[in-house]
Order: sequence, then structure tokens, then C-alpha cells
Amino acid sequence: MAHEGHDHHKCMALFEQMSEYIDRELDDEARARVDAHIRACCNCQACYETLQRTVDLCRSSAEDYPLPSTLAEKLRAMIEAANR
Amino acid sequence: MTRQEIMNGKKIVRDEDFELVQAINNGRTDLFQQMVEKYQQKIYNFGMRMCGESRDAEDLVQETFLNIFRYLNGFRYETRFKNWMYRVATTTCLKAKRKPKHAPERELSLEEFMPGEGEDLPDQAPDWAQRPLDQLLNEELAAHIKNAIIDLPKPYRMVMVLRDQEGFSTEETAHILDISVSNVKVRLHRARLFLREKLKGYFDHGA
Repeated sequence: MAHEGHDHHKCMALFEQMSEYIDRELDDEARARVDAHIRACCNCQACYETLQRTVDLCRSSAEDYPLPSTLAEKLRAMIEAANR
Repeated sequence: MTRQEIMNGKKIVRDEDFELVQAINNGRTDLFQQMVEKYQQKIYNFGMRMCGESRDAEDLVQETFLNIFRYLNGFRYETRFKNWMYRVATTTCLKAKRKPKHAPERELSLEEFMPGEGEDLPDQAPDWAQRPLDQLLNEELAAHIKNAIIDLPKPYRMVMVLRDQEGFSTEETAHILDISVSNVKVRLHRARLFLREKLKGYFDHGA
């Protein structure tokens, strides 16, 4: 069930701004508005936490891939050919 | 260290690669190999994140460095060299033929991720959003995330990779892709919502 303090229109407005909120790209006034709403609405709090976690997982999963052993030689040959 | 300067009446960015780029452009093309060695890992990572296949990523690395070699003379130091290099890489990637296995080019609408009015909404975040990150992220989940990103339509995938994996700011991403800041924000938000749905599915049914 939606929380009894849940205001669908307010929640939808916040839903659209959630990434900017996570990225600290909202101005102080908008940020304070989102903070207050999240404190009051457990549905939006849950929505925020899952999106924040999604971003954390996306960032943390970005590790270096092992370079193929043939790549360095291919690049060297390509540059030599381009240099000629 | 990166700083801005005025050179010949124009504002330029002097970054860690400034002297190397200048030397290459002044005829020391033998130093290009040094640039390749410095950045091949980054461009290969970008290629893997965008294409998901080693062979495609290798092709992207080669094409990107070939284009950098061809067009480096036209680089005017208006941005960090690394950002210009990613601009070349993203342009090269966008021009690459779309493989049928990749996600179809379609728009992601906000509505498809929005809860409907009166919909049953969780009043508490699920366990996966609350557990410590290091207890959660393992090889299987990382592979699932990579596959989910590959499933994103390319314009959304590119923004997500640049912002959330390569670490560029919103403004830098806009400049690299030659799109507006608001467009970056819109694409990123939808891409994150898309990934969140995939993660929900994984934890509800797959983990």
C-alpha cells in the first residue's frame, strides 16, 4: 500500500528529480524540498534508496578489463603503418 | 594538474598531456606510442562497456587511436586532452555498425518506470538496497550489471557509461557527446531507472 502521507503528484515530481538529487545537482531550495519529502514519505525513501544503490553498484562494478595479449602489437603495427 | 591559460589570445586548457600532444604535433610522432600505452586500457574498458565483446572493443581501440593520430593536429586545447580523446572514441563508437545482438535503438520514456497512481508501493527499501555494498557485489552480479547496461539503447548506454563508469561530470559528458546538459540528465536518469528494474528482477528472481 502507498503510505498515507503519500501525495502522488509530489512523489512524481520527486521521481523525476531523483538522479539530480543523488548527483547533488539541485539548488539548495530544491534539495531541501526533496530532503523534507523523503523524510515524510516512506515510499519515496525506499525509491531513493534503491536508485542510490543502483548507482553505487554501477560505479563499483566498473573495473579494468584484461587487455587482450594481441592488442599492443596490433596498435604498434597500426601506428608504424600510419607513420610511414 | 589542469589549469587554464591564454595562448595566442585564446583560452586553452593546460593538462598533464599538454606537452606530449604538443611534441607529437610538432613532429615527434614517435611519441604517439607513449600516448597509446597511457590510454589503451581506458579506451578498451570503454569499448567493452559499450560493446560487451572483446573483438568489438579491440576494433574500437584501433579505430579510435587511428582517428586520434589523424586528427590530433586539429586539437586546439579547448578541453582536457582526455575529454577530446573520449569525444573521438564516442564518435567512432556511434559510427560503428550496430550489431543485431545489441539493444534496438528506441527511446526510453519516463512513464514506463513511473509507478501508477494507487499502485502498491514498497514502504521500505529491499534488502539489496540496504546491505553493505562489499557484501553484495560479486562476480555474478557484476556480470548481470554489465549485461543490463549492454541492453540499454546506445544513446542511454553511452551517457551511463561516461557518467557512472568513466567518471565524467554532467558538463563534460555533454561536451563529449555534443548534446545539452539537460539531455545528459534525462538520459542518465532513464538509464538508471532501467538498470534499477533489471536489478530488481535479478534480486527478486535470480539471486
